[in-house]
Parts: sequence; structure tokens; C-alpha cells
Amino acid sequence: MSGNSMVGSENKFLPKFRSLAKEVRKSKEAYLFILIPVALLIVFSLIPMIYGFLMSFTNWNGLQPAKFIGIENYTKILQNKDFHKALLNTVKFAIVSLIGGMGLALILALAIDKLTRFQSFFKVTYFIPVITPMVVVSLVWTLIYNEKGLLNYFLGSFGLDSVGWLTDKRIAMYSIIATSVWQGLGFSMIVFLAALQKIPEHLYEAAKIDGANAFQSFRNVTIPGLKDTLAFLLIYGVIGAFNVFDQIYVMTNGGPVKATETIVFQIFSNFRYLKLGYTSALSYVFLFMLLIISLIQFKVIYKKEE
Amino acid sequence: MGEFRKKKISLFFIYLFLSAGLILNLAPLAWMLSTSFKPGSEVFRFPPKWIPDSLDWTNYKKVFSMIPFERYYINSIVVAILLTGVTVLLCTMAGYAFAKMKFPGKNGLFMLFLITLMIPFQATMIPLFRMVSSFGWIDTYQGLILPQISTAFGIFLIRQFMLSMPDAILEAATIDGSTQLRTFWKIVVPMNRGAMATLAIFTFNTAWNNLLWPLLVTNREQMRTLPVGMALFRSSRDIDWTAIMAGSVMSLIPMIILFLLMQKQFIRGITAGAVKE
Repeated sequence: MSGNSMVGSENKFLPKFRSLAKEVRKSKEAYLFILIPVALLIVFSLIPMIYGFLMSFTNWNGLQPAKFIGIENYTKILQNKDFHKALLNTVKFAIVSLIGGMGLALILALAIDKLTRFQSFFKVTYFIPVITPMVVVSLVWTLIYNEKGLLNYFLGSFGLDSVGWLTDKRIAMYSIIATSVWQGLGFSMIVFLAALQKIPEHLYEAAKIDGANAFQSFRNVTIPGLKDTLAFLLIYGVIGAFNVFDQIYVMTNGGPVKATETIVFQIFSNFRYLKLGYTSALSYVFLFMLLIISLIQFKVIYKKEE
Repeated sequence: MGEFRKKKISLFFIYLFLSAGLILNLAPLAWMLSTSFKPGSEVFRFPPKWIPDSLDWTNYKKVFSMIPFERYYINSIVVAILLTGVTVLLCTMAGYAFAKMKFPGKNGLFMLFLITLMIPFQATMIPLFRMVSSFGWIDTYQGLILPQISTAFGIFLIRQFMLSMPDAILEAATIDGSTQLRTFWKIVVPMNRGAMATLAIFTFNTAWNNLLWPLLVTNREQMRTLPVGMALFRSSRDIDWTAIMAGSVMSLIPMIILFLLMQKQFIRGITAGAVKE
């Protein structure tokens, strides 16, 4: 079109560009198939990301016009004791819930795997908490953890003192973790079970012939067979733990004295005070941490599938 | 003979262990159900009564008079169904394009989706909220639904399934003069119903349970979804536990029904991406 004068010239890119343009025109249908997802991606992911990144360098409070303040929000976050606390709480949540949850789920899966009857009955019933909305789960457990609730009644019937499950700042986080483990147990169990059932039977037979006892065959056949699954659940669990919000919001609202504040909860509560610049920076710190975890996930899990 | 006996005994203990665990596992939900039928005065009465003397339905009626519960329900259903329908349609189309079509920029665009797959919604939520509120979408269905349509996971999932679809069938259709859209409806969709069902359940479950985004973009009671309505109901001044438990039971019922009707697809849907089949 505009390149008429260049037809004779030695431009190497023009023919390449022409054939690309031709291919693009030929692929109109393909672009129609991905048009809306790409538009949604740009409008609801990429633009907010850029917008948030720019906001994170301002002191915007939603009322007065934003002023550029450089990396002040970021240095504030790194020095903020509340952020350290939230990070620590989140990490605590991740470590304790993952070790507890995966341990219990593996025991359950190993037991269900051995069953000769009612296998799917146990599978299905242990899965029910997984389909229960987290808000419902949190409401039920708040009632159970009540100072006059079911759990303290049982303690009392053994002659023990009541515990402030959600009001004692040393215990509240563990109470929330226990609830989360309960909710996610069926999920990890199903994933473990699927992996267990994929380990070829002949490996166990070979181990037996070699004189391996139950523990040795678990150590040398089962554990290696579960390696990918363990990696998946670990990374999936870390990401889930970093995103934890619903339980905190319903059960403790971050209390007592911020003992259960996690990172996403802190993003939410800073936002409530309209500290938009600071909250955006906090979101970006969070995004960066998640990105690192996800990159590891990508390397470990998806690479293998290709 | 001895070994057979030993096996039987150990199996007995496994059943015992799993049954005891199951009772513990279901106890919180049983307590929810039980409390929902009790008069308020009996919530903290001990020893605990697991089966109430009579089934008292007043708590269920009370929820509707205390909060606009039916609106929450309708909002949740509208949001979850629209979100699921749109997501499945878009992801199936895009997944097909990425799996089976050739076009310039394909790999770059696919990588872009994979990268956003790593970015949690919670991280971009605040700027997204500012955008959505500047559109005037607070307290609207489009505000609840549109920003939540995340297609990256679905496109990835569907594409994985479609990679194994034989090219010969698609080529034959093209040779017969079928347009891409027609091939998509008549061949691709019917062949990938399983993958679409998996994605549908995953999306529906996520939408039905979501708290944070609906909490941010709704102010009016009339626009709240079930999780938001229930969470805020709990933080209202006088906590009525029997009514809260009745509302909880009712929020759970659609999921339970769906789950009992299609357990297999449900488990596959929720564990999509985790369990390779």
C-alpha cells in the first residue's frame, strides 16, 4: 500500500511483513475465537496491573488528587511491623496447615486405598467439606469455637478449663488453621488416592520378593510414586495459603490484636481506610511473592506434562 | 492361612479408623443442621442434643424476615450461572483455537494467558475495584460478573484436552465445506463435553463460594450474594445462631444436590489440574 516506492528497494522486511499480514488476514476466524478472552485479559488483568503499579508510587487516598512519592510506600511496607506480622502469620498458616493437612490426607488415602468395599462411599463422604462454602464452614466453626460452644463443653466434660479458641491471641491462628485443614482434607485425600492407585502393582510385588517389609516398600515404592503429587499439593497449598481470607474475615476479623491478620486480609483492611497508594504497593509486594511461588510451580508441574 | 487372617484383622481396624474419622469429619455439619432446628435458648445448652426433640422450622422462616435472604439466593444463582456459562463458552472457543488452529501470535498470546494464570485475583483487586467503580458498576450484576470471568485456567484446561482430538476429523469437516464455527458447534463441542463439564463445575463452585470480590463491589443489601450476606449477617449486632445455621444449611443445599447427582464429575471438576487421568 504505502510501500509502493519501496517495491524495488532491497528492504528485506517488507516481503516478510507482507506474508505476515496475509497470514493474519487468513486467520480472521481464529482471532474471532480468542477475541473476547483477549479483550477481558487486557481490560480486567493487564490494565489493572499497570494502573495498580502506577498507583503504588503515589499517596492517593481516593479523595485528594494523587501525588507521586516514589518508592516511599514500598519502604514503608518493608519497615511496617504490621506487615511483618501479617507475613509471619501467612507463613505460619501455610506451614502448619500444609504439614497437618497433607499428613492427615495421606493417612486417609492410604487407608481408603486398602479398602475392598465401600471405597467410593468413604471417598465421597470425606469430600463433603470440600464442597461446603468457606463462609459456611467458618460460621459453623465459629459456633463450635464459641466460649460456651461444643469444643469447650467437651473439654469441660474431661475436667479441663475452657479455651479461648478465637479470642486467645496465642491460639486463634491455630483454630483457623484447624478449620482450614478440615475443609481441605478431602481434596488432598482424593489427589493422593488417585496417585496411589496409579503406582503399578508389580513394583510392590518386586519389593516383596526382595524381602522388603511394609515400611521399606512404603519408603521405596510409595513415596517415590507420590513425588509429583506431593510437589503439586505443596505448591498449590502454598498459593492457597497466601490467598487465605474468608476464614479470617468471618471468624476473627484479623483479631485478637492482629494475631490472625494475613496478607490478603491486610490488603482488604488498608483498602477500607482508603489508603489506596499504600494498598496498591502492598498488592504489588504480594503479587511479586506469588509470582515467585508460581514460577517454581510452573517449572515443577507443567514442564513435565509437555 | 495365617496371613489371610492377619489381613482380615488389619482391614477391620482400617474400617474402624475410617468410620471414626468420618463421624468426626461430618460432626461440624451435623451440628449446623441440628442447631438450625433448635430454639435460640437451646444453642448453648449442654449436654449437647444432636437430634432436636422436634423439627422446628421457624429458624428457616426467620432468616427470610431478618435479611433479604431470597435476594441473596437469586443474586448468587444469577452470578454463578452466568459466570459459568460465559466462562465455559469462551474457554472452549479459545481453547480450540489454541489447540487446533494456526495463526500469527498464537504462542505469544498463549504465554500471556499462562503468565496471568500466575497472578492471583487478590493482587489486582484494588486497582480493579477503582476501575469498576469509575465505570459506575458498584452494585450491578456486570460489576459482580465481568471482572470475575477469568479465562486463563479454563483455556489451559480445555486446550490440554483438545490436543488429543484427532486432526483428521476436523480436516474432513473443512474439506466438506464446513465453516470453523459450524465445525466447532457440530464436532468440537460434542467431542469435549467432559472437559466442558469439568470446567463448568470448577467455575460454578468458585463463583458460588466467592466472598472477597462481591464484598468489595456491593454496598446495597439487595445486591449481596449468599457468602457476603451470611458473613455480614453474622457480624450484625445480635447474633442469632439458629438463624445463621439455617441460612448456612440453605446456602449449602444447591452444592450438596449437585454433588450427589454427579459426584464423579464434581470431584473431577474441583480437582481439575491436580489429578491427571
